[in-house]
Amino acid sequence: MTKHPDPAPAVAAVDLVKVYGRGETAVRALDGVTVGFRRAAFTAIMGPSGSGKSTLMHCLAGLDTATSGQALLGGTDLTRQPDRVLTRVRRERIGFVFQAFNLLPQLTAAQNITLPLDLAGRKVDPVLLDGLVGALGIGDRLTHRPVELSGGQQQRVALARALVSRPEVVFADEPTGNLDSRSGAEVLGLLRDCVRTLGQTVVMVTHDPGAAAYADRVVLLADGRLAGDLDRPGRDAVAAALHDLAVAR
Amino acid sequence: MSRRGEVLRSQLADAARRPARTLLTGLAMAVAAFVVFGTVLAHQVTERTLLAGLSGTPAAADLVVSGDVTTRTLDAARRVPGVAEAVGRTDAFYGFAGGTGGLSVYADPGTGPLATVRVTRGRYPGAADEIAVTRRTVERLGLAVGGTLRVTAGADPARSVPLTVVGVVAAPDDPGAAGYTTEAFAARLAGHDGLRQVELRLTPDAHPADIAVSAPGDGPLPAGLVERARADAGLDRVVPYRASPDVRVAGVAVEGLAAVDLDLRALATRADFGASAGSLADAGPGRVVLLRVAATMANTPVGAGLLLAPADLDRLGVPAAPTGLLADVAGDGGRARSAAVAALRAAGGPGVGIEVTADDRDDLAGDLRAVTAVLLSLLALTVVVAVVGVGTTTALSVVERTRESGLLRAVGMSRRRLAATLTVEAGLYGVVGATLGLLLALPYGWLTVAALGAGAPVEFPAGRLALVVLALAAATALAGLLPARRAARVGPVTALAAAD
Repeated sequence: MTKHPDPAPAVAAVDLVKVYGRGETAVRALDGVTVGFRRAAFTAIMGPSGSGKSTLMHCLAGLDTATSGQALLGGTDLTRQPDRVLTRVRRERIGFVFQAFNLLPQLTAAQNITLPLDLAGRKVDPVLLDGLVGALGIGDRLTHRPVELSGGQQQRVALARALVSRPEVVFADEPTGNLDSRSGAEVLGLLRDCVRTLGQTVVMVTHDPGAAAYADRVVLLADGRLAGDLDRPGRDAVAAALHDLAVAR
Repeated sequence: MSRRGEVLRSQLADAARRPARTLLTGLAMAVAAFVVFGTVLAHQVTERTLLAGLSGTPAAADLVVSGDVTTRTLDAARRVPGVAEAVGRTDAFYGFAGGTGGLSVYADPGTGPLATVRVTRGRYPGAADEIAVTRRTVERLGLAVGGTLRVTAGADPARSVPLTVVGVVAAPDDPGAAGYTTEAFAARLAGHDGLRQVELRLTPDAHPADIAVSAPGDGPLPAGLVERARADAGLDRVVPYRASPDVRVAGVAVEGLAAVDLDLRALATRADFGASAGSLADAGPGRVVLLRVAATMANTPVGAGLLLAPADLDRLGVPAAPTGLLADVAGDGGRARSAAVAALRAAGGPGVGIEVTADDRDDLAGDLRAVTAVLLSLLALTVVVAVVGVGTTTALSVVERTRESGLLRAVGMSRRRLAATLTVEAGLYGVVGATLGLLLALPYGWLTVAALGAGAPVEFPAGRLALVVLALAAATALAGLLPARRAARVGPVTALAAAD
């Protein structure tokens, strides 16, 4: 495996190692992962539980610091940055979509969407906001608070929040985990649309082969190592690859 | 939206979302604030009654001028340096036009420390033909605010004056036929400018020197006493003076007024004399300085009401020999004081009055200190309990909202700002509590003053109360600081993984 599989990836891990704990109880959640994620592509990270897929995402997104190796975001090595810089990177260059939506209950949908910009002290681009809100179909829910929204609507608000700051990359952590299959399919379709129409780079962690099938590429992890790389696989191909991984163990 | 606005908006929205939590936490602070405000007010009352009790003079009026006084006397008194406020009192009875009975009309300022009445309804008269009446008067005469009375005024029984009732006042006593109005209108109603008396409130306090020596009777000090006192190593700043007890101001005898040529500028404590109107430096021939004769000035060795230049006393025909002297003790402590007293006694012989004013001053200060210490320690305890309560609540709130904190960190809120946000929230509890406490404590403080019957008008020490609100908000913010910093240290991944 080469050190740089992609000439100019939006995000890349190079020999990334993450060890939790110390001494005998130490766990190597990431054991030397090297992988790149293309710009304007929808990539899914898959793997069985404990394969390190969430840890990989956290390290690449500046939410967690790696033990060694490099987590590159457009050339910036996030593993070497102090918290102050990571905070800034998260605010300005990265968007997040979480499994549990994580909207602030005291703010309206509109306030939740503009939260990252408010925190950065930046002005909201009304054209961009209108476009996003229209594309995501939440125009009539903007004044509602999260408790008044369905799960699918909440996740679409969260998606708008991730996109409003025009980030270099959107990380989605099991974005359909808390949704019924119809709402889940809608959210996945929207994620794919923003890759196609906005040229957005999206990296999604999931354990659902159906969700992974929406992606342009699926990266498989097992035991903290890269275990496979599928280009535009169908749902069955993903399921088969996962099955092979489970059997191999 | 500014960053600060965003934080505040979020916090206010959160407070509104959990009104019960905010209110309950605020309640802890309210109790503390209640005690604080109550104490501030009670302390004022205590101080005032203690001082008033010691001096035996009315709380606010320092000098009472009576006799042949007119509104011109009043105007003259107002121009005297050292007079903070002067009011004229009159009372006169007027019969109702075309009916039986009548109304006593009193002059009163209506507001300020020298007011004897307080408006309970409507407002205090400000213009001519306006009057405020007591509650019983309203009941007995069947009046209402806005109603009109006709009274006969002056010698001519046919001349009737309409009075508009603009307010109801609470007065010290309420015989049921009493009205209050301004000096100016009372004088016009009476048809002459005579006043029953003029009350003066003077600018604040003076502290005397350590020891006061006075001559037997009204005579001069024994010859050579001043020189020997000056030579004594145990004494500092020996200041002789002459006092003349019989002084008339513009032909008016003034109670409690003695003319003295004491040079205030020679006293060590001259800064305490605080002439807030005019300046002591202006004192000179032909000019008069007024001193306060109430409260702490009950300890004045001189009992002086008028300070004059020596030349003026000479012109008044007062003999040149000093009638008293003031001296400061050179050393510290009781022994130096006793030695100085013994030396003066030996020098002055029997019959010379020696008053160790420093002792009185220390006693008074000691009493005040003890009362203040008791109040303050009670206060401190309550505030500590309340602040700990807020700290605990904030900690709980922080734990409950770990996920929210994680999200805020994930979308780019810095550690410092997250901590600041949570601290501001704790501070908000303080503001809520302090406001609640203030609302509770104000009527309580008013009741205390009424119950103690101190006769002191209720003041609203806005500056001090604002300071207390700020201090409480700061204290609660401080209590929230620790849990807030702890929350900010948790990594976003850990925080986001926390269960709801």
